[in-house]
Amino acid sequence: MADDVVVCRGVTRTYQDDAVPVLALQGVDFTVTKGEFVSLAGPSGSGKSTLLNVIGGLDRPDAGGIHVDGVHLNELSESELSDLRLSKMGFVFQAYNLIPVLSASENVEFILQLQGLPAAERAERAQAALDALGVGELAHRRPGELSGGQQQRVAVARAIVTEPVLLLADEPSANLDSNTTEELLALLRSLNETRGVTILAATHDPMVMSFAKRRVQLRDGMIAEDSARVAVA
Amino acid sequence: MPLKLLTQLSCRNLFRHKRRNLMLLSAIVVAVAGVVVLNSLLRGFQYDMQEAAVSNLTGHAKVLAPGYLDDPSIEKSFQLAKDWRPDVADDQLEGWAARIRIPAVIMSERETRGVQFVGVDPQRESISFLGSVAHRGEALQSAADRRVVIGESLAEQLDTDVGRRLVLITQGADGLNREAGFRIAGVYDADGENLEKIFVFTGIERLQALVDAEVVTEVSVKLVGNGAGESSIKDSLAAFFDDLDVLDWQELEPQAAAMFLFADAAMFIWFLIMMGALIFGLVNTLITAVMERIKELGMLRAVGMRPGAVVMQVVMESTLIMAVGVVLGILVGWLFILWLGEGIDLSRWAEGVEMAGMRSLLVPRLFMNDLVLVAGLSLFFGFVASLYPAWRAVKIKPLDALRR
Amino acid sequence: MNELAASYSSAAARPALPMLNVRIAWRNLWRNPRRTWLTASGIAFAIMLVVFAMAMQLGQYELMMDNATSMLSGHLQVQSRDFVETERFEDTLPGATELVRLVESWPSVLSVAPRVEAFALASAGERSFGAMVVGVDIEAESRTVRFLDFIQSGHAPQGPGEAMLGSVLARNLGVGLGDEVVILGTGKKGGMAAMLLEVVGLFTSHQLELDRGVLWTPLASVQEAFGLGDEVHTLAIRTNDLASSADTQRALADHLAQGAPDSPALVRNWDEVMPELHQAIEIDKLGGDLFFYIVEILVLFSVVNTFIMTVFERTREFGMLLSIGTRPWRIVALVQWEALFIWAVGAAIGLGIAALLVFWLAEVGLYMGEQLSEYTAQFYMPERLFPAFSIEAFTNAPLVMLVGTQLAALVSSVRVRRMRPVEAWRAAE
Repeated sequence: MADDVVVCRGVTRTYQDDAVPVLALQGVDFTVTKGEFVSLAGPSGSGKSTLLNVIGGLDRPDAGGIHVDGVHLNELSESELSDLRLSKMGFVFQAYNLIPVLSASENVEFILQLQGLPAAERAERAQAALDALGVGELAHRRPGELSGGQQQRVAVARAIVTEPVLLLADEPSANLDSNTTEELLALLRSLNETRGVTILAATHDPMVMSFAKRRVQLRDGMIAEDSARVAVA
Repeated sequence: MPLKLLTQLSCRNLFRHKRRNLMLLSAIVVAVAGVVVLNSLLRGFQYDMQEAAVSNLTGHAKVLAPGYLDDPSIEKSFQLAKDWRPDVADDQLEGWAARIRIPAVIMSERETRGVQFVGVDPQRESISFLGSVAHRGEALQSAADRRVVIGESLAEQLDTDVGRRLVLITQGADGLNREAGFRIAGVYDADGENLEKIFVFTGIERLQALVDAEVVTEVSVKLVGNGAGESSIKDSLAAFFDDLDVLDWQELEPQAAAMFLFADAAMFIWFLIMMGALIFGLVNTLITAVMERIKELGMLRAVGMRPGAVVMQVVMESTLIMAVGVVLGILVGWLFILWLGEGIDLSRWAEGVEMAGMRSLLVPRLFMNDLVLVAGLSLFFGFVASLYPAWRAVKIKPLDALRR
Repeated sequence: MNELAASYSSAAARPALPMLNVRIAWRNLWRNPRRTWLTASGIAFAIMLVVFAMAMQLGQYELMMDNATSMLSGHLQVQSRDFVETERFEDTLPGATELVRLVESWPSVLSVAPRVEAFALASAGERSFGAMVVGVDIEAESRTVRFLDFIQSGHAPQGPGEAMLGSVLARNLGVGLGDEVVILGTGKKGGMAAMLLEVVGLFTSHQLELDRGVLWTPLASVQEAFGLGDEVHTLAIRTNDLASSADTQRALADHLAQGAPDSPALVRNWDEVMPELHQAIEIDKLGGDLFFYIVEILVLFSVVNTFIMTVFERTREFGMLLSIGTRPWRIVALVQWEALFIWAVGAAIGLGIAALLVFWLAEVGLYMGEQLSEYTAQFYMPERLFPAFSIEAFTNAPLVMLVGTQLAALVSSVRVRRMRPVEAWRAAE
């Protein structure tokens, strides 16, 4: 139990879509243990993004409980959720989502600044993170001056610079070509293996699934297939 | 939340849309500069009017016999000890003067008019308009001067001039009329025809001799500056002259005092209207700035920026551009006032201006307090204008934003 | 978007196009309703404020002029040229009866009030004050001016030996109704002029000069006491229309020059008789205009901003339109139409609110407050202000804003004329 980074129990989430209730999650039970690299797959509408969002504290379930690193998310306020994301989670989005007015290193440092770290330590850690992802030389460029792959690397650097307990990725390869995707995934895997970063990636890209150690398939708001469970069984 | 980080973000965001924000900045500069200039003109008008009211033989406070205002005659007079002086610190007192001021009929060889006959000590009249007007011929020399000075307009009406003689008829202390001849020492040119037509001056000792009484009808005290200590001087005069009336300039010139207050209110209303006109553009631009950054703001929330910090960012942007606009606006307004220089010459409208109790040179006045108030309230308006856009920004759901 | 593209690509179908442009412009406006409303509100704010303030201002001027001329001075005055200069007693208008007849015969003259003005010493008991003794024909005065409205107590002097005094003068003299006042002055030929009058009326005008220094008594007795023949100093004239009194002035001057070529008569309009009032109005108007223009400019800045944002956001759309063959001027025209609509919405709201305010205040009036009224009474302003239904007030601001919004749109759409389709496509990313 102490090694469980994410624990979901009976998580249900319903959306009101044009007056028709859409059941996005129907009582999902789901656990991620420390050091796992999990891919969440499924067709659109299967609930994979919703699951990722409720785990990330971006959305709240209608029923059921979610614990991240032992913290019960249901009991937290918006501001406390913000702080939790800041200290324990890293995010990688499909559209990179860097701040256009800040340079690459500033985008990475920014997170540390939110955490209130001193300037010298920030600069050092940001540079180390960028170096680790192979974009150390581009530190002073703004997002507009970087290629898609480079921007996504900066986004990953931003996600891991806080040494989060959990790295959440939402369709990280959606805007990348296959070569760049492969490079990115290799990087994520090495982060997972060498640093023990727990990764949860929502995707429908088979290449992402092939890099993940555990593959979870959702359908109609329920877990249809879980490679871990199969292995156990 | 580190403020420095927010400031940095806000600054860069403002630079992202140079044209739009430059336009907004210009609007703020025009508004603030306009307020500063209009304000300084109105202040000029206000203090001019006050100064004119005070120097119109009024002073900041005046001692009168009870009933003098209703019946301004020699019967309503009082005696003043030779060695009296007001109990005011030297550095606050601009001056004081004792006078006799009674109605009289003035006659030249050809014409007759009604006037206010005023006995003065010319050395003391630096506190009234008499001390600063230009004379043709001579000014009165001393309290014992037996001649008169009259206004330019009155001289025209009476068809007389310097060196000629006039007869004045007024009531003596015993109630009987006195008639005496006076030589004209000089003709003064005051800033206003009414003053010139009403006031005829002679030495106070001469007038006391004419009415047969060593009395005065008024003591007028003027303080340094704008009369900030007028209530305390009024109290100390009232304590000394306990059987007499002591009035301040607001009571003596209620119309000017009412206008003075009205000008204060007008300034505030102008300011509010200008800010009102500005706020539409400000809110509009801020909302656009929020809406086009929905994704970015959503991401910031996702990676752990607190809702309060998002609000701060929008507020900061508004306040920043307002602050720059206020500084530039005050600077532009100030330069414009410098360019106006000595003041605006209103002599084309001299008579209308006189009717309003002003002088024909409108000197703009810039007060630090006003600038601080304008700056402070502008920033406040900048803050208020940012509330709705900031609320929009907080309402952004990270997940909706990221889906777009 | 498809509808847009379709409508533009059908550029060959000429006839229906202008209307189509209009419809597209109107729909575009409501793609961002919040911005449209904010911008239109700004325009409405400026128009409402300026229209309302201008109507009040012009209404105030009308009232001031009307009050001032009808209190005492009349719309026009005829005096001897010399009297205008120096106000000396001997500079009279001779042949007064004939002159009055001549003036009255002019069609746009409604009535004429002849007056003589003599300065004299007014005494009661041991009190003496200098006063202007004005001889009047009360019947003619009541047709010419509303002076009688200012009677505070008693009645106007009708017969010989009756006098009406300014309230301050009466207080200074210590007299009331029924008391006697002795008038001593110098007659035209240098002899002593004396009158014994009974106080039958008191008046308060809030013009300190009048209240403190004027005494009214019948014309004939003043002429007799001061040794005047068929002579007067002033003819106060009421015309059929204050607004065109200057025209009557010119015509009447010609008429008198022909009818009485030897008379020293000079006809003056109210603004010459009371230059201070005319000037006070002018300077007030100047200040008002300055303020109005600043407010209008401020709002126009925000309109420019709206169009900068609109054009910027639609870079991609415009690029698409250009790439399918739309001419740049058509896009510029589209933006101009949008500006026209946004102005129309703002102007309708602004004018609507201003009209409501003006109509409402035209009923109830705006009370100035007691203290301020005392100050403004000097300017012949009544205690309650009423707005004017003036075309100028209602059209000035809307027209300024119309020109302003069109220019604002033009400035912002400069980008469109320099736009290249491909760059525009990319710019939106």
